[in-house]
Amino acid sequence: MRSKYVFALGLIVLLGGLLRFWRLGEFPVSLSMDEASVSYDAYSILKTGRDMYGRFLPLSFRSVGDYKSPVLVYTMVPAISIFGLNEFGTRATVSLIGSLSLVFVYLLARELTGNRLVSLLSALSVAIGPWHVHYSRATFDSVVADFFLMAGVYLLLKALRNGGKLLWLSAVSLSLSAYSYHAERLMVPLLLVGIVTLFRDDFYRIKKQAVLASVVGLVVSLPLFGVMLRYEGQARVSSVFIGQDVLVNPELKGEFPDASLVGRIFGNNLLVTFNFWLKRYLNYWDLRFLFLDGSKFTFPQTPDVGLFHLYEVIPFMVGLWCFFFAKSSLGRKERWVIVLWLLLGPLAASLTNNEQHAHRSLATIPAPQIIVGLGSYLIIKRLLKSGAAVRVVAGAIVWLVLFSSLLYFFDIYFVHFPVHFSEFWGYGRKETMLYAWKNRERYREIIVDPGYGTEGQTTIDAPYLYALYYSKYDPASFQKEPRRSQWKDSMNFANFTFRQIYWPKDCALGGRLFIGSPWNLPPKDIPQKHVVRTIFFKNNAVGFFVLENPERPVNCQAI
Amino acid sequence: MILDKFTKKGFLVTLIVVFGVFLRLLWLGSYPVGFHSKEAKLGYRGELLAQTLTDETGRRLPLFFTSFEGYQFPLSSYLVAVSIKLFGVSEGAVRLPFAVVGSLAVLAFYKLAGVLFPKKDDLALWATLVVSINPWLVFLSRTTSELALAFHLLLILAWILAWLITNRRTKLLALVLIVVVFSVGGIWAQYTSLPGAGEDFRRDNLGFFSEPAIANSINQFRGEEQRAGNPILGRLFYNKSYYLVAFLGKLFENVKPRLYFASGDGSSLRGLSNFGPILIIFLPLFFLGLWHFVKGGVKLSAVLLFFLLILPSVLDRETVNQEKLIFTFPLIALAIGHGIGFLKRGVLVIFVLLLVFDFAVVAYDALVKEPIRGQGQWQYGVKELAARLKLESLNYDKVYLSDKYSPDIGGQLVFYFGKTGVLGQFGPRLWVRNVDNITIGGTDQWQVKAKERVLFVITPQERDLLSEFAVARDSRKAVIKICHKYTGEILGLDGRAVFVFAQNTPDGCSYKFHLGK
Repeated sequence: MRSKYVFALGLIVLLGGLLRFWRLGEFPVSLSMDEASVSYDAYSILKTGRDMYGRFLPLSFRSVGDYKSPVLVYTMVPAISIFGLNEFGTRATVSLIGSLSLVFVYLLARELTGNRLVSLLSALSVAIGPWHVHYSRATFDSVVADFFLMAGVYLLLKALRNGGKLLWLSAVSLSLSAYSYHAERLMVPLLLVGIVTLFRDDFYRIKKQAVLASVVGLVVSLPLFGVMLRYEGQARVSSVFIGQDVLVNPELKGEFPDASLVGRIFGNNLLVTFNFWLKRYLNYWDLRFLFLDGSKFTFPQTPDVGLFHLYEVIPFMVGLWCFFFAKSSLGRKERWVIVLWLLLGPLAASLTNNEQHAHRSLATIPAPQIIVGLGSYLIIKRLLKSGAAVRVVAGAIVWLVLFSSLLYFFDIYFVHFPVHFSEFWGYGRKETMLYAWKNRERYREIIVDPGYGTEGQTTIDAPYLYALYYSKYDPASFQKEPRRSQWKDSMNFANFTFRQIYWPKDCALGGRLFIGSPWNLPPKDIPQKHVVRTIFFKNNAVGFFVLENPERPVNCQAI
Repeated sequence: MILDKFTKKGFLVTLIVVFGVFLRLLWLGSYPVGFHSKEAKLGYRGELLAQTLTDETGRRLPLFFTSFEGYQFPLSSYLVAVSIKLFGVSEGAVRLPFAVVGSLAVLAFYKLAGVLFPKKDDLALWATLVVSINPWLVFLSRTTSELALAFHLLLILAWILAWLITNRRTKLLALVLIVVVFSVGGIWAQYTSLPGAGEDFRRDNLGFFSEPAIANSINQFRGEEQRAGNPILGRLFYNKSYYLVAFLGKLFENVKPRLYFASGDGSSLRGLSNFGPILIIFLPLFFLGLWHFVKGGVKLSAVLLFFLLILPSVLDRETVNQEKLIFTFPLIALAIGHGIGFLKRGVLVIFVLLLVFDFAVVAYDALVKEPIRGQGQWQYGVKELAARLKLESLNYDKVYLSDKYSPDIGGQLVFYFGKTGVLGQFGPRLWVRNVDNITIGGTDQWQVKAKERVLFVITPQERDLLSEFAVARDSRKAVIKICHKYTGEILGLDGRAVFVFAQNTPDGCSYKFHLGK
């Protein structure tokens, strides 16, 4: 009986793995700037033991505009050493962790619901769910953090029933979760407080192990506290904090000045922020976001996919009903753990300056999937009690819905997502950088513009990261390069310069290779015969021109 | 309530209802700030009806009226006429009937809840508190919302019917039902016979089906599939069935807690743009009440009724229309009232304290900040403009007035000018384009002849347009001149100009020209 469930779980993990690894290097269509950054850091650690800026085994990795958490980078090192510095090698680690997460979804759900079938259905929901599949495919640290969070809570609940065995490991896992992603730094302590309050009697019974685990957890987390007190731990938080949102910032800055006592009591900034935050928090309880368009794979007001498949709204509703009103194997405390998880999951995301953010709220997984699992279980149970004909028809419908939902998801993800968003994923950088690196010795300087976009220069990225990545530039050499920067966080190296191109002036610079968008290299102004590459986005708009300017430029009246 | 014994509960109910009335009637003429063109048109018509028994199209006691936004049902116009007859022409008099009916509805709701839940005294009391003080009904009662009027009248009617049923007044009940059915049926029959009524109805109530984004996205996705070499998938997934998905999306939008308790639909015309239509403090109590209702075996019909009641908003052309969701409110208020009834005494005290604080925060924002946020939508400043134009327009041959700030500003001018007369012919739409020597809108048609003295009244955003014209269209002369000078402006509540006055300088520009492109 038990092996049957293990086999089923194996199949689910296999299916989840397939969805996470299939054409991993090709979809998403290009490495994002963050992926290039963390993987080059991992490469640098692999080769030198230092990050790209020369810091020895750091606990936070400087990226573009913020600092990345360390767990992701260090866990990526083995895959990069095996597969090399390429798209697959970069993404394999998170895909693997995402696939293995399914095991912990199952174990955690079993621990909470005491029902193996519910647990399998919960794992299936995560395995095929657009939410977890997408973020597992694209090197997102939230997947790693959620993996450790699920593992940590599972081990904790297990330890409570097993006399405290491995409780210390739970503490380690939860600490690693907090190391891995900002959202978990808020989620983990709050969830822990909730669980400890709920299970205080059980903790009291294993107080020795609890104290030991607390000490282990504190010791492991201590360096993290240090990081969080420094700029590198606060940079991201302060830059995306809800108060920075354009919708509330003017009011916080005194758009409605009122120095009266009434104003200070009923219209103060704390209340303004709280009111604004409430809206953001409630945004995460939006069925449209969850089941119709939360994944944001396509432009607004067009067909899209939610964080869940649309059909899951039915088991979700049934599950909610079952969770709150029906008798089930769920205990009171376990119910509260799920409720807490559901409530805390989007908390960190709601404190940031986005309406809804699927990535930052990923810590909510697997709570809603367990609800879906409960609902699915109830539906299946009901169907199994029906007559043979109903079962056959219902079974056929279920498979049809499942198959067509997956097919629809694939269609959106592999066909439309690239067309709509290729430019936002840095599509085209690879081709330009490979060309530039291969031909670098032919030019005095290679000048790359960080801005591009279909409708205008709507995207500014860090092309130096792509240049480092695709050239597999020796990290030791880069660490020793004198820091030359002409554009925000960008670093020039070798004969690469990263800055804005201003063609009326730059046209006079002979012997250079220019890489820029049509917005900086206007087709009517540049000599077309010297365009060596034209790179199109997936929506067929021109993304980049690679232009070699001859030693003696003609038709250039530089200003 | 008056019939109740003056017990502690009776005192509480009286307090709640009186407070509700106070919230609906206080500063009625000046809050919401501004006086929307829709209200002004209603006021103008009300004055005409009160004086001459004819409307602005010259028809005597008509059943239907016409406006800038389509046909209008009769009740609101006649109620306003009565109010103006009694209290004279003012903003407050126009809004008063709506506020009075809204106030009566609070009492009606209490009585109705008592009839529906005879064994749950507290439920009726608490639910009435919710109805009395929540921003949704308070705000809409203070506006000339026809939907809110219909909703409030429906509540009163429901109470009357419930009373007649419980007191077994069968004959009277039959009479009331016959009157209601014949009135509604008659009005509906008349409406359908109006020219362009079908289009009017579809535009106002079924905008979802003419939403261009749906058809466009189907076409776009099919095109992308074709380019990708999967035309079959394109036909399979992106076809008319997407209307169903879009419908589901709108349905989901209309049931999200944020909409009801935290943000509303963001329109200052339909509520407080910074808060939900229901105080946030009621959210946990709503869930508590719902939970107990379900536990107690709530009927499926109540759930279906809720979904039926959100349909008008779902089928609207806008994503969400808070005004059209108002009919769901009794169900929500009952759930909240039910939830409050389960609070223990200590928790109840804390809840009341939090409620007072929450109410104070919302009230403060509504009185201090919301007028500034909503002044544009409420067309604040037109009253001052009208007062100025009444005096200044006499000094000019022509006045050109932009309709960018208020598309039907003519209705406001005739209201504030105190004019009475026919404005146009009856039809699906009516708006005023000329008042005395004032020409409204049509900026691309504005002309100035030699030696004419012209006053331009435009929005600050149109300043560039005026300058561009003056420079670029002076094609007969090589010399570029500015052919106007600014003479003043009308400021909004935030100190920024909402209207700018400019007069032409005929000496420098004695030629014919057009403004705009």
